[in-house]
Amino acid sequence: MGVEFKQLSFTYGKQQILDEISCNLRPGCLHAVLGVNGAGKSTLIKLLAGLLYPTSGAILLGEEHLEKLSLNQRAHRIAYVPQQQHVSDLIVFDYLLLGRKPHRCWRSVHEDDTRVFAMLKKLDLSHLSQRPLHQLSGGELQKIALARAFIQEPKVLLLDEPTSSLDLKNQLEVMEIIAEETSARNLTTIITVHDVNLALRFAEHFILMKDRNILVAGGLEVMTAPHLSQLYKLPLQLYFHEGRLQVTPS
Amino acid sequence: MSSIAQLGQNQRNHRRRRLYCLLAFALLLLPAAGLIMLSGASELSYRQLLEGLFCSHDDVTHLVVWQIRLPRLIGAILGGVSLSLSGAVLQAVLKNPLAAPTTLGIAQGAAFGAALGITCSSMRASFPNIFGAFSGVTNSVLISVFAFVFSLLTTVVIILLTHLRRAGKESIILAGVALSSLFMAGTTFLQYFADETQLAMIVHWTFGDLARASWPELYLMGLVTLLSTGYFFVNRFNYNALLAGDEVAQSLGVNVVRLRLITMIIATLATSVTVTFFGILGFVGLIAPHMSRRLVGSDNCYLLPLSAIIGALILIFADISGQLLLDPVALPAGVITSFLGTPVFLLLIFGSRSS
Repeated sequence: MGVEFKQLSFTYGKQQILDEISCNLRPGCLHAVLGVNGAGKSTLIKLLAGLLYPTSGAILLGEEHLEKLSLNQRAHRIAYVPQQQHVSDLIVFDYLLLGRKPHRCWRSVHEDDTRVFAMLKKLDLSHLSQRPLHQLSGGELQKIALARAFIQEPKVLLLDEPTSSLDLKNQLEVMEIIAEETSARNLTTIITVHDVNLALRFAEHFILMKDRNILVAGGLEVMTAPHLSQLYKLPLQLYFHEGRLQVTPS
Repeated sequence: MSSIAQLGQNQRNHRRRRLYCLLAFALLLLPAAGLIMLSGASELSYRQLLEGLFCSHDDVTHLVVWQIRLPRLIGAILGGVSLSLSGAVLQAVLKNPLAAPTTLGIAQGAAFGAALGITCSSMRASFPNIFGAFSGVTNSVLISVFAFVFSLLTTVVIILLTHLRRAGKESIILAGVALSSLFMAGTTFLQYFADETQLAMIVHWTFGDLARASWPELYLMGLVTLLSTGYFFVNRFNYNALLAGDEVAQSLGVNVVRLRLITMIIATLATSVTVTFFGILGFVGLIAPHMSRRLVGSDNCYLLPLSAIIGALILIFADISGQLLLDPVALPAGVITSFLGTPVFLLLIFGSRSS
């Protein structure tokens, strides 16, 4: 399911956060939103998740207007994972069952259990199934939160800085899971990310946000030294290393 | 080790453990109910109890069983269920372990209302012009109506404060504490000017006493408890979703603002009814959910029923101990719950590994 937003604006109080931005996002593609702190990345994700309401403009999921969908219809289409996960003494399995909430009436059924088992197995997280959330490490918690989003079986996956509090190994693992599931499930995945190299490694489409607007959006061709230097107000250089595009401050 | 069959087994065991815990406590209700039916001012044997329940040969026994013992048992169950469930869901929607009917000031509001009702009812004879409108209403009904209105008023103020000022969830508890103090000051003010009879009545009203409710009141309580319990159980997965945070819950299809508002209204309504008929039964709404959480965790599918059962058990045992401790003087259950509440609550907080 493609996602399109047109002339999207958002103001918080008197402060304009987003100013008439438009973009087209396609299914099966990992989109990375890049920008400095306060550029409006998280706001964009929350608008797309329907957690905030745009001041003006429209968000389209395929042919449907997001605002016209009920909360449960949205939950069938969009999964959202925030930057910080709330921990509780809920065990991992029961937490993952929350992902089935939009799909069931009022009780848990065997099929829900099966889907949770399958996802735990697929992500190699079975050993955590009976552990309380507050006993998990940051990396484990992030993977479990992702698993919950996949179990929701969305068409659109919105992730707010999924790697921000993780070590290098976990960053790569989490991004690999996201990239694999995006292509396997033909998801329209949108992530905000600070690590440009991580974005370059995994994403296929880039949205560079600066001063309430989209500076530029597109494939690898938009990731140029002038664009990135302008984005981060810092002289940056790009180079190829072992066939991959990398960026460092010059 | 981690085959899907093994995972399924682990999860089944986990569910079974929690279910057994629920069943064990539910079974405890039976002897507890038997004990409360046997304890009281007049001595009854098992045989007399059963005869009183099912046959009506002996009028006195029948009267004792049907008008004193059984209302107390049912009152304990209804009061325990409604107070503990209200506490559990308030803790869930406000995400604050201190949320409970007493900490939100609802009980204190009711106490002030009752004190005002008692003052007014004794002034009826002196000022027939002012209280003429209530001429057909008995004093006890007037007191109950005042208590109910003021406990609801507390609820309305708290909800308005949180919505108008968009206050945080912590502020709701603080607002409750502030309102409690205000109502306690108001009650003290009325007590200062009350005559001896009024003073005795006001003080006696604040002791939560299960022997106070009669059948019509119990029917009303039963209806409110049934409806509120139904709403809470239907929303148990929504309360679970809140454990993952408000934003995630909303992205899972939960209308968080509406759920929080309706839950608060229903929980406080159920509490108001209980407090109106029984007086203040402190700590039940706080302790029962905490004890249950220790036993079955935060999953509301198990937490809510266990809280309800433990709440009922606490009130039954408080009532029985009240009857036995200073026999022949029967202490009201509210005194016992307050006495028990403090050490148990401190133990739950400081004895907790996770704290």
